[in-house]
Amino acid sequence: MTSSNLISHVYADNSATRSAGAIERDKVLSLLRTSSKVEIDLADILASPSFLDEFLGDLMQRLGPLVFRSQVEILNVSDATAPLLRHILARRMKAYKTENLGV
Amino acid sequence: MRATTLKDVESWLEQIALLRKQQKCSAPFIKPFHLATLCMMSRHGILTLPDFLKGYAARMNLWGLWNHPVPKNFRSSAGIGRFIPLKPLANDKDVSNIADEVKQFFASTSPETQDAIWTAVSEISENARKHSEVKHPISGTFCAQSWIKGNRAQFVVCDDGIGIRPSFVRANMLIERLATENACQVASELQISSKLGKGHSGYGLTVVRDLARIFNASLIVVSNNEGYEVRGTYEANKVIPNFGWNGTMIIFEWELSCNLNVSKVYSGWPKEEDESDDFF
Repeated sequence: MTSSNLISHVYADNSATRSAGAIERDKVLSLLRTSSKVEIDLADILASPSFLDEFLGDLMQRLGPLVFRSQVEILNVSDATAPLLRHILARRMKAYKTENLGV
Repeated sequence: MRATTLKDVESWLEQIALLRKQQKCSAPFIKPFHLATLCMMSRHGILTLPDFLKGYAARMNLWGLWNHPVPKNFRSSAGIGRFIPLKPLANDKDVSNIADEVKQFFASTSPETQDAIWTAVSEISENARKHSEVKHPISGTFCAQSWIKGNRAQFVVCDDGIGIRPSFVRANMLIERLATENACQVASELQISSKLGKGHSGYGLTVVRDLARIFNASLIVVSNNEGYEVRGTYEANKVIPNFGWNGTMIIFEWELSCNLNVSKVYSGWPKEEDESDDFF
């Protein structure tokens, strides 16, 4: 694993669907195999709740909140998207705790 | 121009039953939901339509979607006008393309409204693809229209799949609630999905319901013999007589002068225990 920071812009030509979110999530998981940190730039991205849930929500649930915080940096979240993303990540954190900590 | 109601949809389903039996029907004002239902009915064969419907049906691509021959003297539209003709929902790319086309179609509205409609169309169209369980490459259809003088617009997503209630029953979910509650209404609640925990989180229908609640728009959900409607603070549900309609239809209608804003929907959802800005 290198210590370089990679920037993963969301280049998806489809940010409407859950399947497209899964593709972006897998790209980030792949980058994390060789990088210590991945930056995800959401500038100018209009994304559906399902896309963000599958992309960032599921990513957080897979990595766990501690690893997610230290290895994934989400940049340029618009004011319009922020409340949705907060909600998605909190829900997924709850799911992570239930799955892994029995909380 | 008045808003479409659940009663209008119920009346139309009754007319469709008449059309099937006697090749005749009537409708006071044709809107996209009329054509979307006819479209799904046409999957298995060519419908004989009364003359008053043929022109609009041709413009909305009713026959073209299934590669049926267009009746003489009527031409399928190239998409000109204040409408988006019937589009197939066959794959992920269709969902994305339709959402983008709708955003473009409403380019004269505010950016927030365009984003809200894009989001609503994305979610509802993907639901039809993922939940209808239609055994055909085309799961359902989408179409839309705006009426500038009437200050209204409508989009509809329609499929002829198993329906909302059977989807929950098949997943053995919410059985107790569904014994007494309307399945369409239950499905519109946040975090309710027949595929919850299986790659779905139950956001789609809630986004559209809350847009209707906050911005005094209309949401009508009809699935098999159940109906649910929201229009601002008004909400109602009912059992619809069996007119032979099978499938799910989601109709969203709003005033063009209204600025829809989906971030207000997100902000209105109940706060989760661990919500914070720590992650971004």
